[in-house]
Amino acid sequence: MEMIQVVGLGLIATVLILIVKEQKPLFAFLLAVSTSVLIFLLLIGKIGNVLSMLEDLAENSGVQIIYLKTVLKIIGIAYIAEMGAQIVRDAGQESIASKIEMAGKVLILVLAVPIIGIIIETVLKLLPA
Amino acid sequence: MDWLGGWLKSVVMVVLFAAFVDLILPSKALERYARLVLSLLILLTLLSPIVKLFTESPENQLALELERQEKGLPEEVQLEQIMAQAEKIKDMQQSQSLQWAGNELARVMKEEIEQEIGEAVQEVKVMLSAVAGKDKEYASAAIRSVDVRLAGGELAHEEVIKETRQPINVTPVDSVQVHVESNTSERKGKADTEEKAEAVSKTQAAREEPVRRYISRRWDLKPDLITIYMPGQEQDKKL
Repeated sequence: MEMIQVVGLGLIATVLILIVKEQKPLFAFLLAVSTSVLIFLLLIGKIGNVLSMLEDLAENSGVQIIYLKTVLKIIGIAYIAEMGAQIVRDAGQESIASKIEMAGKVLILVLAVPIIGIIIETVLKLLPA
Repeated sequence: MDWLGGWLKSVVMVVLFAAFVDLILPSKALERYARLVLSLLILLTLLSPIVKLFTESPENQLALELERQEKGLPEEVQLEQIMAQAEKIKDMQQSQSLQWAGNELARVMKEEIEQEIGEAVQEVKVMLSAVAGKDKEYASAAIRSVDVRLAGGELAHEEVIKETRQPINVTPVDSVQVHVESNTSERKGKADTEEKAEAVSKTQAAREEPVRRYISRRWDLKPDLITIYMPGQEQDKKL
């Protein structure tokens, strides 16, 4: 059912945007933003279910929670950056969209810093002094 | 074999998570970066038995680092804040203990002066200061000053101590009452106190000297650290 809701919402929003765009491009942009936020809010409950399932799985299998946390952070950053970039791109601001994507890339790489630190530390200790 | 099972389990789970994330990633733009981090994570999991040999609990370290990133606190500042707080608490403790030691010392001094020299002592104040030893730790304390306030008795005998103590408490009260009553009696009272002060000042040196000498000998102090107040001086201050 949710899928039909989402598609219906998207279709209605698209038609409205096409109508409004000729007269007021600004309102078309606001409509696009609110539609994407609305779809995201519709999905939040489902995402919560999936996340709690993943956490349970990780706990039961004895995987360190920190690994799961890192993975989830990557997903979150990727999605938010993607959403923002696409909205901005729709509004015709390609350069700002690419900056948002760059921020997403940097933040994902920052997550890698502690991991790289630990691995390099271990490798250095393995090498004979 | 238990650790091998645990290790295998965690490897499988992390690879599974990574595959899941790879599927769910929205765009090509971020894919390469996310893959890099995921592969590092898998590498860390694969290496975890070796890593555990060299570093203590890499997971905790990772969690700490990530938390620090989230809160945006630089490591040094956090550490410095904690160190500064610790220093402050240490200073407070030290000053409290110095104060306590000073009070205790003052009590002992007062008793000893009364017993050994036979002077009636109203109050003894001892100021201590910390002496820094090695490694900036405070190794010991030194006496910075000793204030001895002698009681206002003319006779310096133990038997009279109790009697001489009471007039001190009474004399300031007397002068205040006189002040309230009338002009003539006020003058009289003032004259009285002046006379008294003169009389006291004559015997001052004679009374001060043995006390000063005794304290400096007994506690191994320089005589100029010791200040002795006579009852007359005290009254002057009060008036």
